[in-house]
Amino acid sequence: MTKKEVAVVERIPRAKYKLEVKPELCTGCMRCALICSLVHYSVFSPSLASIRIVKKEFVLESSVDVCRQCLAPSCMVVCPLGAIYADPKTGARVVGKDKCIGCKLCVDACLFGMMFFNEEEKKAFKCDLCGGDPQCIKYCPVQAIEYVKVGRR
Amino acid sequence: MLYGWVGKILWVDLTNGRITTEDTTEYVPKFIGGQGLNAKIFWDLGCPKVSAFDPANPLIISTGPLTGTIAPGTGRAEICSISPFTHPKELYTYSSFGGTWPGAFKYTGHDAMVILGKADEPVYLSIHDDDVEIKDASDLWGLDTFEMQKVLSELEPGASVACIGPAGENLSRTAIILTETSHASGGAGFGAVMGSKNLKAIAVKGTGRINVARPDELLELVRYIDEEVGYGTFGMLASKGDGLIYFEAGKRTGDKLKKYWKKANGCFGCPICCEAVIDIPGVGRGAAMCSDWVYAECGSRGPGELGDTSYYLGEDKPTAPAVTEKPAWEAAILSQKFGINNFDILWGLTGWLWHCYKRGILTEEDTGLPTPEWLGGTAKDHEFLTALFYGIAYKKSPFADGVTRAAEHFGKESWDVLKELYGARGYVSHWMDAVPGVLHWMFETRDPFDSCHDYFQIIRRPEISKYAFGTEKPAHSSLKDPTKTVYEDSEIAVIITQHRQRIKNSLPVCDYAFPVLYSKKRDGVGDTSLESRLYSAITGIGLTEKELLSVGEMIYNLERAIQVKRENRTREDDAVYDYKFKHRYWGEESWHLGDHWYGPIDKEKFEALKDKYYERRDWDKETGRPTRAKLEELGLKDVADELEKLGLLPQ
Repeated sequence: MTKKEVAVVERIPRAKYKLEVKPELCTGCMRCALICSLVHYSVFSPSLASIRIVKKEFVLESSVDVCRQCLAPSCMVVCPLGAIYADPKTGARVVGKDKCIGCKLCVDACLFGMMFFNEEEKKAFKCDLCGGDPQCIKYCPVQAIEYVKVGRR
Repeated sequence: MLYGWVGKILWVDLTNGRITTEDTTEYVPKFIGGQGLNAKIFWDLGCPKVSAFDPANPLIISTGPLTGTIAPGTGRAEICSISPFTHPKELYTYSSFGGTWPGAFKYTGHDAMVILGKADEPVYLSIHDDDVEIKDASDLWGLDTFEMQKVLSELEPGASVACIGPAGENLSRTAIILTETSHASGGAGFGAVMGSKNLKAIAVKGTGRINVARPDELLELVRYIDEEVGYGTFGMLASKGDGLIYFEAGKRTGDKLKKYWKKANGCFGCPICCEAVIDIPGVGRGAAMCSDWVYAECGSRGPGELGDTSYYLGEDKPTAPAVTEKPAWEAAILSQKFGINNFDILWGLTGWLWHCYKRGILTEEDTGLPTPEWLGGTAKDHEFLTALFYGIAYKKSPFADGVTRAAEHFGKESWDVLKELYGARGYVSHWMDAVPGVLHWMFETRDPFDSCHDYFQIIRRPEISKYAFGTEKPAHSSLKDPTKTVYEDSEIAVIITQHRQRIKNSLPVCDYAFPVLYSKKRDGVGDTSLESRLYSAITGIGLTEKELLSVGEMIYNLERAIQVKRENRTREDDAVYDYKFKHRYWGEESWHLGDHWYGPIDKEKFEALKDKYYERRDWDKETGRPTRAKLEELGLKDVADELEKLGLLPQ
């Protein structure tokens, strides 16, 4: 990171909460993704969800991916318009839809592939922890997702 | 905007490689989806009078408006085609499956697909949204179903795969179409239809979306079902991740299986997660439900006088050696890998073999199978199972086309045994221990109990029967009920259940989840309006429970018209094997009553019941065919016209 970037990172409030997943429990039912897209876009569409499940069906194993709500979030650092901000309540890194111009720099920058792009809106999107009440947790039938406090490092 | 449906039906002709689409709205909302939509497509194709393996036999795979949403039990697809399995005639019939595939397919933007023709070389279908390709599968032909999915997970990352194994490739009439380790369209031999088209697999992956008309209403309904009502048949029997281990494998084997239990598994969008993921080192990993366990019963429940009821009741003194957990699981895994219908083989074949061996009708020389301990021999289950499944999958055994055709091959005595254990049309008896069950079987084209376990919920519960059918009598319809009202009002229960069944397979919703006639959570009546409320919330089309049931009636009549037109169906075809009218026979209700034996059914009373059935349906009693008046009332005037033109409409 450049000095300038370090300075930016230091000003970013830490995330207070994040999601943690237990892929070994996941049945791959996609309910978390379905409720996520419904809450944020009023449609069912796993490709518009900020939580991603890929089920290896022939061995019944799933990979579950969620935003890490990074300490040094590259998405925020690269955004030329400062459109990504930390939610004061949870610290979740949130895309401000008004400011986002759809340049996709953040999508490329995320090391975990957890920044997505809505082709219809031409805007980036990611997990916003539903403002402190993550819906995916409520709809997971096997309690494979947890909403946890971020500990001291 | 279209809510619920995603708008397109995919047509693939493998002979010339032509791929086209059609608007779903040509068929919906009238025919809903699934079984209803399939029937309409098949009717419009002219109900081709071809054999199951003819390239002109369409393989129609449909989801419904509820598939792919968060509504419980809706992650299913319904396949309809001409079945190579039904016996003696190949009939147009249905068979459904769950898993991730149905939901994933719908997100490609297609509600259904119709596959016609036959490819020159082995191929697989790759569907990524609108990008539909027929790809070469020459190198993949011969792979088992697990290997096939593994290879495609590399060739088509993130895609869901439905495929056939060697059994389907070699046109075994008992071949399945499988996705994941255990979600299969198994009951109709459609795996062999895929094989006859040189189609190895269908890989789907989509980025589409499903619009929902009233999301808040839907979410409230989902919460209400999950928390307040619970689920139908499965809700009564088991809980999450249970996989019916105890229910089917019995207490002794079930206890041991628990050691290998890993987690729950389920279908797209469904919170029930009914399957148990079992991983036994050296045998394999997979998810399982009831039919995966039935091999555990061999020896301890040879379906006969020596059958051991104590097995189910958890008593300590079994009278026969039980198959242990490893062979039971190996049987399930092997059948899925080879792509073989384990219900016919593990449930039907084992019982039939047991009787044929005990009665001296067949020996090891006849069957070519090493005799396992539960049949009185010394072979290990592993040897028996490997020989059995290998022979079926590579068509090297008399059992290659299922048990019914094997019994036919071995001659009259073994055929007589088959009729004791089998119900009709080549399907092993399945809930034929109560009058409505038997009556229901008569009018169908296959074992209907893939999707009408509803009857289970009314046994001995008059108030539930009253709620479900408006009459208490079907609650006492068990063939050995002491109240002796067993024949009364059965036709009412059957007709309503047949309509619910069509709705179930069209929306679609899972047989284990719906309808909720009995609510365990309330210990009382459930809620039969749930299906119509889910449909209304998702599609925005307000339909009451009653209106939805009349759609079910329309679909039922359309299917009957297909049978009349294609198969010349008449009243005489509405039958089950006559054994059940002459002798006592083995039933399944032992869980409740502790005794295996039922019947015989009173033939005269039963024919009278059939009269009542046709009358109540407004069908012609003599021919058993729908009348013009009925078809027109249901909005099927064109169907009536066509039947009249062919001279098939009753006068």
